Amino acid sequence: MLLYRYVFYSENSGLPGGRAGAEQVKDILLACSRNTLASGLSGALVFNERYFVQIMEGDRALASRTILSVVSDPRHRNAVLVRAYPVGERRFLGWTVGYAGHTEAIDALYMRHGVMAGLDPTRMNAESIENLVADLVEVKSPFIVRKKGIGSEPAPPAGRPEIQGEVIRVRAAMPLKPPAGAV
Amino acid sequence: MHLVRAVYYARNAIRKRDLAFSAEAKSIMAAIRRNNAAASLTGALVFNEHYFAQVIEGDRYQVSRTLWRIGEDRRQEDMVIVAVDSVTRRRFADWAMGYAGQSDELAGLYLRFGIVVGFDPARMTAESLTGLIAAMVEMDSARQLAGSLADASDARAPLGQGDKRPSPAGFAPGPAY
Repeated sequence: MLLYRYVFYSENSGLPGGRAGAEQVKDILLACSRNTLASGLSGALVFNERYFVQIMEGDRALASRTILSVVSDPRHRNAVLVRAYPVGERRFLGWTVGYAGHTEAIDALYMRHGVMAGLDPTRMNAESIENLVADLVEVKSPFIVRKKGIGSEPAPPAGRPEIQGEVIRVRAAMPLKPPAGAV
Repeated sequence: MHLVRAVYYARNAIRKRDLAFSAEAKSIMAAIRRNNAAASLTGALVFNEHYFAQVIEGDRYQVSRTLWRIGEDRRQEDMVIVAVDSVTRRRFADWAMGYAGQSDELAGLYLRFGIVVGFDPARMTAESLTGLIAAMVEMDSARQLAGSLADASDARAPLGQGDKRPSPAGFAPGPAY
């Protein structure tokens, strides 16, 4: 068992039926709630209409298996693993899913870590991507949803009421369309 | 364009799937060689009955495409990606492959880079695994340069397509391109 961090991105090929933005956040959260914390994986996923950017931390064998299953999902195209390396400590202690939209604060983060005011991982190196995601998950926004705390709660069985409730709350907080001017 | 070096290992599932070991190994080699040459990838693959391990260097998009393809190959099971890192220069000038067998020389390398006298990538760090694979390639090139191929009788037959003669560690240098 070795603690690793994986940084990867892929093109967002959208969902069947063409849903994007808030609806996609909900779907991704549902998928992630079946995932992870009990398994020892943590990380973050941020996305916009064009890209998914993901950081995953945990045992290298388990994370590798999970990543291979993620990239074979038809919603992900042309996945690129930017960095995979052993770490002494996690940087992401829960699971965060966030829509990488545009506000003044978020645009400032894109500019701090990249060459343009938008999420474009193809033009970023591993360190910049990792730092951008770490900053994005700290932003207070209804578009960014956290599930904190590894091991602080037992693994919920699928369909447990709290999980349903959490997702419904998230849905209620989501505007049905991305904010005006979103990428 | 971002130059990266990736290292993975996977379980050798050829026998498990009742496939012919040597024919399947050859087919894997041929596919990798074709793919890598076309995508400007360099590196080396070593394997035995239990494991495959490979270093792949090149553009990060091409390296990833190759990793995902291998991840879907049922002959290479339970792939574990042990490193992907940006590098400023390649460590492998071309592509090579070899059988991680047993010889005094290989035993020395296994001990130098690992904790057992054998090829066990699951118990190695990325650095050790890359070092071992590079040393196996270098050992073999050194032998070829020295022209000391005479004692190849106790070595495995080479698995590369179109290789002219066996080399002691079973390594076959990749095509220059």
